[in-house]
Amino acid sequence: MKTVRMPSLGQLILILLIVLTMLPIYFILENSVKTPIDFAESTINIPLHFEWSNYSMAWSKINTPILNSVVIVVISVVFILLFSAMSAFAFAKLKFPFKNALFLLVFCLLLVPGFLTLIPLYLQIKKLGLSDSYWALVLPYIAGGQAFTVFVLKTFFEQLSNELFEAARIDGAGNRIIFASIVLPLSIPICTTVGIMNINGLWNDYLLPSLLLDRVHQTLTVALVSFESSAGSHGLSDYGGMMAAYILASVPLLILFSVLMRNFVEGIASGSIKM
Amino acid sequence: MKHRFASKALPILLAAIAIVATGCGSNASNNGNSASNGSGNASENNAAAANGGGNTAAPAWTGTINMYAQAYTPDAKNITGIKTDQHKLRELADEYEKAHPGIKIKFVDEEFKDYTQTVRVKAAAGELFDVYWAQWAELNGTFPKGIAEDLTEYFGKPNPYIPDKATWQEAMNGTVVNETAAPGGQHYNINGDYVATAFFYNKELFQQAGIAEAPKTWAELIDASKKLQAAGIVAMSQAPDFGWFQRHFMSDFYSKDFDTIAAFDKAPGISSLDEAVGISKGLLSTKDERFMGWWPMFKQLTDTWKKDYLTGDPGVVGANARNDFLAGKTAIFYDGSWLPNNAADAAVKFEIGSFNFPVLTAGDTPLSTGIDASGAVGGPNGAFQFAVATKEADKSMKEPGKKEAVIDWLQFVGTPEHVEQAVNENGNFVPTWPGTKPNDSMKELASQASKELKAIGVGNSSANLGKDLQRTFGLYLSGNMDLDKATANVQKALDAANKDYATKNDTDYSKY
Amino acid sequence: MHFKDKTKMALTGYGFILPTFVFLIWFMYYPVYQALSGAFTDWDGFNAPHFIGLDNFTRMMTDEVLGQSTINALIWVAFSIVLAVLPPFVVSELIFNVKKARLQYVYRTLFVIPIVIPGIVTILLWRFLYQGDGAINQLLGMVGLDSWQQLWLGNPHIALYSIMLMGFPWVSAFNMLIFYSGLQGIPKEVIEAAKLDGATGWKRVLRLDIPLSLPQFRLIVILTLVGSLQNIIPPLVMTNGGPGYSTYVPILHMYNVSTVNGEFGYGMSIALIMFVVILAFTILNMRLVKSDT
Repeated sequence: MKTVRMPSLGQLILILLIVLTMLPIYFILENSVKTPIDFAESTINIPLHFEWSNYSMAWSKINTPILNSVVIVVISVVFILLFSAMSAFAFAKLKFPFKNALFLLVFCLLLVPGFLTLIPLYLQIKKLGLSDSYWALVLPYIAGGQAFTVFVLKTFFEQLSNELFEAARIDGAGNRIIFASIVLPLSIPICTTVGIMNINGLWNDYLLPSLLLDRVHQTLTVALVSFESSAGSHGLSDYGGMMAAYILASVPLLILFSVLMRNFVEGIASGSIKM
Repeated sequence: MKHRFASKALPILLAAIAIVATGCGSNASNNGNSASNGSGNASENNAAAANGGGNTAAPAWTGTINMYAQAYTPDAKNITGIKTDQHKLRELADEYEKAHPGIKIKFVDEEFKDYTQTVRVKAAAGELFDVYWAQWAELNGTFPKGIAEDLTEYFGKPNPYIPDKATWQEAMNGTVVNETAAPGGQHYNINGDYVATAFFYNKELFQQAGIAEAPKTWAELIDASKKLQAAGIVAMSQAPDFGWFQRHFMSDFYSKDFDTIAAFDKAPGISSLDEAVGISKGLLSTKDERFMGWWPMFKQLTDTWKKDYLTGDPGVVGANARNDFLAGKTAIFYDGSWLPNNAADAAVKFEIGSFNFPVLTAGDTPLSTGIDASGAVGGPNGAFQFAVATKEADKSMKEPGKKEAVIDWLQFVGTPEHVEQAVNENGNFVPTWPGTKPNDSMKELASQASKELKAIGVGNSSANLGKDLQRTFGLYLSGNMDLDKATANVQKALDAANKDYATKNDTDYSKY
Repeated sequence: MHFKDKTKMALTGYGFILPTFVFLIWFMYYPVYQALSGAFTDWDGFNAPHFIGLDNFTRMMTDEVLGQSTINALIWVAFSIVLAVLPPFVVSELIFNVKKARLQYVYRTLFVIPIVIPGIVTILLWRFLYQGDGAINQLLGMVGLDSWQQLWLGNPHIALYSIMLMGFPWVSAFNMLIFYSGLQGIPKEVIEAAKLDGATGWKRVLRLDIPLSLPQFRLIVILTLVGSLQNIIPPLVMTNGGPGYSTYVPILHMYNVSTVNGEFGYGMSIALIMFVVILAFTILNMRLVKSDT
């Protein structure tokens, strides 16, 4: 029988890397209780004085925006996953003319920088009369998430064995039934994975919501930015309040990840995120 | 993905690019129309507007006027750096609404991280605020042409709310009006306040270094900085803002040529056209020894500064530099008249004093003409800078009578009395119009505004010029580039800006 | 298959991709088309654009800032790819070689937690770490390496590398998990067979793991390539391209000429060229890194 061993060299390296990777978390935590002056004195020391009011102030600024962000991100991601899964299924398992060309058209969008389309997209949404509602963000987000999600799900679906589908077809199931009763259930882990990747991106998006939404629908990132003074207003940047707000703002993500972590890792481990 | 995919893909990709690329010709009309597409729903208030009585001063339009008043936004909750008890514009609006039934004034309470981008995008969609904060240099140069109404016509007419002046312009600061004119002589904003700038210093750190008095001359400033350095204190923490510091030196060195330069466009004040012509004539260029003559002199000072920010973009590192000073880490900070208020807000633990940029003497540099250029930096660039959106930038301005109503509101806000009340309540700026008095706390700095504004600098003739020069300036001050190379770089930037200006404005320099 | 069945299958296929394409045409292709067609105009973002042919593209030829930006971008892309591939792959190997499955799970989870931190916080942190009196210089002073102290963002010879190398130790959670999944996908029999051939430890990594993870490598390389060329935030927030133009990259140039100078037409033409270049790189990557999976 083996005795309890010290962790191997590899594990020591892992632990060291984890500590270093967590550095930003320490940075946020210790700075979240500093006044602007404390912050300017040092950004890395452990604070002697704890300015807890940063948190109440931060909460009052971001409570509604958090809710807005949750609504927008949840609706967007649900539709991104649904539509992408349908397309990916068609690209992977159905035959129709121009399939490869059409898929390529989707794939190309991965290569377009977001800034490029900012103004045209803005005009488009204004023209549709959608601004100052959740739809102003949800609709372009659904479009923006398609390329990557279709790409990943297509790879996943291609790996599913055809026999599964043939068996269902023999039983008389149409493609819609196959999609709903076989494909969707099988793709829950991978959908969780790309879903989280999408959530992560949308949660942090700034430019579009800052331009499109009024104060009532304001999202979290836009609210967070107001902690840093802008060039025009000459105020002192309240980095402490900002860090406190970041901590509060990461709570929904933490909850989500702790619930879905197993699915997320399983989804990635399904091995379809590749090229 | 199979690699077969790639070889099949190529022709299709090329076809896709071709499709994307061919549409260019038709696009001109596309974009042109987009601003007017939504005009159908713009005039919902018109029915109500038709029956307005003839006995009020305002035209018969009713509806809501949106205004983005930046630092003067009343009851602002979302804009940092504004006192919570600022109400003046709201009071004025209430008064105005009472006298003009059917008109509502709404202030936009928002922080815009990238205001230029915001204005641009909103204008492109035809959704710009009716009245918005915008500085003259941006309106004349950086912003797209046609987003602000030319107010010149109204400047020349009486303002109904200023009964004792024949024209609105007479109530304004004449020098400012002249200096802020666009190349074609247009005025796009009303300009009511002034930023004074000075060196602010930490009295405790000065004591520690054994400096009894604030420096009054250039030599004393250098001396004080060296003493601070010797005492182990960082003298200054500052982004060396080229746009700011050049004006102190150039306004002095070129003071005798001011009238020549200002007269190129046959109008008083130095406009971007004057600047461009000055550059093309070799006067405001490296061919003139004065143009680069102050760089080595200024480097003496910056050699005692915190090195971090020397090469930085003032827009990026400026806030950090200010935080350093307010945290007591550095002794001197050069800033606008808002600093004392910011310091009070941040509850700094030390006492702050201020001194003006010293008057240079022939002993400091033979290039000096000995004039007081301490007021040359800030200037008419505060926040009481309001423009009116055109109907292209703001669809709602198409409603009949709205433009007149908005201008009427602007005329109501733009009286000497109201300028003074609003500016002084905010407390960060100095009101500039004749007859207005600054706050007591601003008195020291306000002397700058009462001096003749004969500031000279370059950077307004092309949008990129100032940024370009800043980069070279930083490399030189930090010792990463010698003066010869810097001079060559500066001349290259000036030439490029000159060419750019001529192309955009169809200017023929040989005519001047 | 009968003609009728084929048609039916095709229609079903189109039906399935219809929602995606409705959204894409509406909110992606049309805006992209509008933006890219602006490349041939002098559009200022507001007034009606005028068609100016290839003027913007000829201007690019003599644009020195764009030249330096391009060189910077190439260095940036090269470093980004190495940093996006190497550390995550090494970590995934280390985790994969941990004996207990439960412990593997714990390590994976710990590496994933930091993804809740917004990217901007990392940038802020490193901006402060890089300061003259920041933690890095303090640390160097403590261990007696004073001569190594630098103005990490203020020195034009170093700034670009400082920005690229921020985020130490560069263990991207997503990339690490993707590699890990690749390793997990290697059949046990193959590993056992390799063991018999004497391929253990490093030999196994080189002979087995890397070749069999090529699909993962390829995806990460392409996503990093695209991402690093489009990533404007670090240079914008940390230096705005300075000192001088030493950290300028094409996307920042495109941003500044558009939003600061108001030359959207020129900005769009830079974007068009970037798009073509990225496309070319992607195709090249797919042809070079072939695999049979």
